[in-house]
Amino acid sequence: MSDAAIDTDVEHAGGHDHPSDLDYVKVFVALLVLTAIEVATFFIDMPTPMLIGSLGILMSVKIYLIAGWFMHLRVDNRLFTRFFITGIIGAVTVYLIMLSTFVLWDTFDF
Amino acid sequence: MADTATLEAPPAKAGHHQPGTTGMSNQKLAMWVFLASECLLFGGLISTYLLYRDTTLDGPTAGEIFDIPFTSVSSFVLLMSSLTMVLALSAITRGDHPRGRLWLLTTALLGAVFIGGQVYEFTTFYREGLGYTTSPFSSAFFTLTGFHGVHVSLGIVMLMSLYISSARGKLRTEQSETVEIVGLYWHFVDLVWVLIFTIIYLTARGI
Repeated sequence: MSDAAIDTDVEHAGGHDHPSDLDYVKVFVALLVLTAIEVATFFIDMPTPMLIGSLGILMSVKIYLIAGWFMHLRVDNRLFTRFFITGIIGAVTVYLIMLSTFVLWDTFDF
Repeated sequence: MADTATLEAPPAKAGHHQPGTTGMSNQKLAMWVFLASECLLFGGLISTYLLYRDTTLDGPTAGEIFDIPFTSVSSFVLLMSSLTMVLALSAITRGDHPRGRLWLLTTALLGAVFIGGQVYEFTTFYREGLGYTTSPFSSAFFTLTGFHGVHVSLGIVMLMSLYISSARGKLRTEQSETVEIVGLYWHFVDLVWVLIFTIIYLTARGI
């Protein structure tokens, strides 16, 4: 790793400015609105693929807001983001392996 | 060797988290590695629930038993606790310890309200015929949400430890990273609830 790259990482680790209290309140209000929309979808009659798709998008935005703003991944060292994304990819992989084990293999009766 | 020189950690101050050879705090790095492993734990539990949610045997189904308005209020409470957690960190970073303690206590109380709601929900489900061993669905549901509840409870213990340390004057402004690390854990627990609320509760209508 070059000196420049290390310096950048150090700067990310300690020299970042956290958002202001007002920014946090704005993010909270956004999370509240998104949650209200999510709950509304439960009571609105819509096709299942559209319901799953819209809930997936809303959930992803909420996760981005919490991880990016409240957990400071937007301004913190990128290595933390990489660890977290690796964990999420691992979790999805676990799900896909389980799904293939219990559903696909059972369906085709290997 | 130039890299080695650049990576040398500065001299340690008592009680302050110092950057390690990576140029960042070892404690914070450790918390992120732990959270990445927690993704795998909850990924496995959510996967198990999704695989078994239709296997209800003679017990009630998710669509019959879930109370979405009640769980929505619980979600609001946990989201609110994430806000109070960052406000606690912000106050302690500024050196405003009385306000920081107030926000820490509020966060712990909101967490306790969430746990109270979960105990009420579990009790109601049990009375309506959904026990832990009623069906694969119920086992997967109680294991997943129970594990999350245990995480919230541990978070409350951490928050109260911070509160007591601060009240005794042992949590100084330069140690605000300790609050940030506990905050990371707390926000992660909130983030997992966002997943659980959406994947487990809000998609239960058609079941």
